[in-house]
Amino acid sequence: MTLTDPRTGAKTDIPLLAVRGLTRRFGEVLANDAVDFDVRPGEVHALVGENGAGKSTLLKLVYGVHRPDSGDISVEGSPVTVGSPAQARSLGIGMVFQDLRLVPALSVTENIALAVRGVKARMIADAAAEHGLAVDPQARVSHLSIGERQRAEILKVLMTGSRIVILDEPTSVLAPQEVTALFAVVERLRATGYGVVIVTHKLNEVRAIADRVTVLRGGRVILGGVDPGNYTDAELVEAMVGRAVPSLPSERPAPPDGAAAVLALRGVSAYGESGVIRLKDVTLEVRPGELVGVAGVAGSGQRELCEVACGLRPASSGVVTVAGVEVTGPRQALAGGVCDVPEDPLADAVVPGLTIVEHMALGLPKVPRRRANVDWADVRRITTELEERVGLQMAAGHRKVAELSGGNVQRVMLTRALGRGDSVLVVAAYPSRGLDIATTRRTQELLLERRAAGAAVLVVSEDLDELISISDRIAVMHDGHLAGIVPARGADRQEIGSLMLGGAR
Amino acid sequence: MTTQLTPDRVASPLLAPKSGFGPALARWVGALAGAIAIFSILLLTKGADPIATLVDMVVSTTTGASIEQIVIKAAPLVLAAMAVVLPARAGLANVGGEGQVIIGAVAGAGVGLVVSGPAALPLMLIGGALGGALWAGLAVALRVTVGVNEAVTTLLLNYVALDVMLYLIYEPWKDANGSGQPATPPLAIEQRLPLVGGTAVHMGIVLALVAAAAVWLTLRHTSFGFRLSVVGGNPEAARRAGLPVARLLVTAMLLGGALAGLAGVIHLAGIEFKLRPGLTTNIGYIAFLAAWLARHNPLPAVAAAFMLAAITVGGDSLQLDSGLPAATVNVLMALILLAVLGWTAKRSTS
Ligand SMILES: Nc1ncnc2c1ncn2[C@@H]1O[C@H](COP(=O)(O)OP(=O)(O)O)[C@@H](O)[C@H]1O
Ligand SMILES: [Mg+2]
Repeated sequence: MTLTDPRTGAKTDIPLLAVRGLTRRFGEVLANDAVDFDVRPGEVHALVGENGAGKSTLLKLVYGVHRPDSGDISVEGSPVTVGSPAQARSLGIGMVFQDLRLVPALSVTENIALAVRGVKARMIADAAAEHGLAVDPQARVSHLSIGERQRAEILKVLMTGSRIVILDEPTSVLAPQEVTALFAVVERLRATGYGVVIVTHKLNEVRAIADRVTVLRGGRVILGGVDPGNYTDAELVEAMVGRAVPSLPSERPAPPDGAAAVLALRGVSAYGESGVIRLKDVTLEVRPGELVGVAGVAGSGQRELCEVACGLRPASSGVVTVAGVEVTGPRQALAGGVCDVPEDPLADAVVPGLTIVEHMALGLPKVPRRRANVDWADVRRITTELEERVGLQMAAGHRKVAELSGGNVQRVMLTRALGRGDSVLVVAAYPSRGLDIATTRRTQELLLERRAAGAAVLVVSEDLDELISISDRIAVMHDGHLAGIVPARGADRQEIGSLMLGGAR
Repeated sequence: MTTQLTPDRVASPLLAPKSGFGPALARWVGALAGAIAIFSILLLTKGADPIATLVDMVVSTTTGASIEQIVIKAAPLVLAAMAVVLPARAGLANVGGEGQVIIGAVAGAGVGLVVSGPAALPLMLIGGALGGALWAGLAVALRVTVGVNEAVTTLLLNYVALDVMLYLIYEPWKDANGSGQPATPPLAIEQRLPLVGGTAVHMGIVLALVAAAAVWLTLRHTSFGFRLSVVGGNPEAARRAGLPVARLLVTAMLLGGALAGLAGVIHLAGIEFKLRPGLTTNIGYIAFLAAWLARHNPLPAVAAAFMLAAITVGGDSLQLDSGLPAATVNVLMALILLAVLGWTAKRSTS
């Protein structure tokens, strides 16, 4: 592979970064076991593996957060030791952590100035334009969305002169539109000769963006820097999980015929956040024991659809009913057995400072009371119960949700929404965001379990394969309209794709 | 090795302080020492001997009489600090303590004008609390109906409250038998707060400490307190969990106003006995400071209220001993605020 070095403009074959035999132990855990890995200029190298596979550890070794027990790191062919992140940056290695690390009270410019001395807002604006990163340099970080914060961090990394850009699970906290925007930035970095390392759990993201992929499992390299095009999804999954993950049983009892719809929208329109109509005259029914998938280009009204179903957004016209009762608000919906997995948990469901157990209390239709107080002992008991029933391995109950990684936040949201045994309607937006393959599978099983128990289930996903494998019918949204509904069995991807883009059936 | 702040150090314990007692104490001591150092420089430039002055201040605040003064000053401060702390839990900025204190005193005095006998004092206290609640209620009503920021409205209402009081004491409620001073007639003996056994301290401090304990208990150990912290932490999450967000905001603010109103009545019935211009001596603002110093935690806010009360009393002695204006201590208070807020600012990693 011959590409242009961004600094010298010379053609080069030498990897920007290469590690050989990197080993690192944390107590009993062998987090990295003789790992080989390299990144060339002008390539995107995906690093994949289940939670705990050692991906973050490898990246932190490269970035000087941890020291390897043994093994070598070289940058552009010269052996180096990376003793600290500052040193890593001086070697041209930059990293965006899974948990973003900007100082919220400072502006973007001030944050970047912490790493790049004497930087001015003007220079930041120029660099932002150059790399296609939409960031307002004057904005205070605490006022930015997660996607904007991430762009600010990437900008900071680029402005420190890094040519190796490491992104640890950047998509697990992003809304789907933001993923598209991020990938556009990554494409640009590749085209200008940067070496990009990106961690993800989503094979479709690997296929969309990566030139090569390395699979880690239990700290060891299972597939080292291979072309993902040479492997099927099943092969990659097996490499990651260590066993074949059988596809979901395709034979499922059909939803009972003729039962009255649980969720019914009749001619429903609704305004979006910005005050423009985002849901347009949608008529849709979900029956008990039925799972309806919602497909569509991000931002086609999926969010508004979920919100009207949960009573979170009033319909500007039309009627929304759940089990025959008109939906009037979130409290009534919750009491009526509606559970939702929010599209943007950090913005809409996570309360800074509160623990997992406290967040569980918020999802209960009736919070147990003991005299004037919440009966926390009972909430803890319920949390354990939900956790056991759901089996998604949440972090410990006393942990603060806002401090968890994206995938762990998602487990909390899922446990809360899917653990309830008496739900009549489950509305799940992008349920498998940030989850590894095995957990994603468990989540899909849980959605199907709710369906089998007679609940109506509405699932929004950007992953068509996921929708086809779990849905009974797929509703396709385009520009706020319901462009069509097709049976999932034997669904034609081309047809769905053209409906998504507004084509006729 | 450069000392630039790297991303990794941003996440270090230094900038994201643990809430443990040791580090908190260290931050406070550091901040106070810094403030006192700058204050000493100011004293030097004024020609005063800083060490002697500071020693004087400390000594003069530890005599028996000064301690009584401090407790008397602290009583309304504690209540008015709770008036900031409680709404803050729901994310509301109550900058209107001063106005709510004034209206509380006005309402108490109003009740005192018409009710006498043993029922007077309890009714005055209730009236004062209701008055403060009404004043805060105006601001929160605007917040939940038309979305006006309560920090602005509560602040503006402070000036309105002062005008209301001045109008009353210059016109309808003016003491006809007074020496022509704008003031209401003094409260009757049974309308005044009794003293705590054999001291000059009135019962207001007991009321204040009980109220502070109640606020602590409410915020920490009740379901209402939990709901307030959800609303304060993420209102959208609260709404989605089906919490009645507007009602919680209104309740928190009304309770806050009532506490400030109570501060006004105990100040009136405990030591002032009549409404007069300059009645409140900035109780509301100093209490706001105390609440901020304590980062809106009730028990530290009590401690901060006592500390600020001590500084005020120290300021009075400063004036007597060194001839510096009593307002000099306002500088010290401001410095402490800046130091504590600046050096211990919580850089949470939201
Ligand atoms: N600082 C640490 N101390 C102790 N154990 C750690 C530490 N960092 C990671 N580990 C352990 O190392 C293993 C790999 O973790 P990590 O690299 O974070 O995985 P991944 O990023 O692939 O999910 C896990 O078992 C994890 O618990
Ligand atoms: Mg990781």
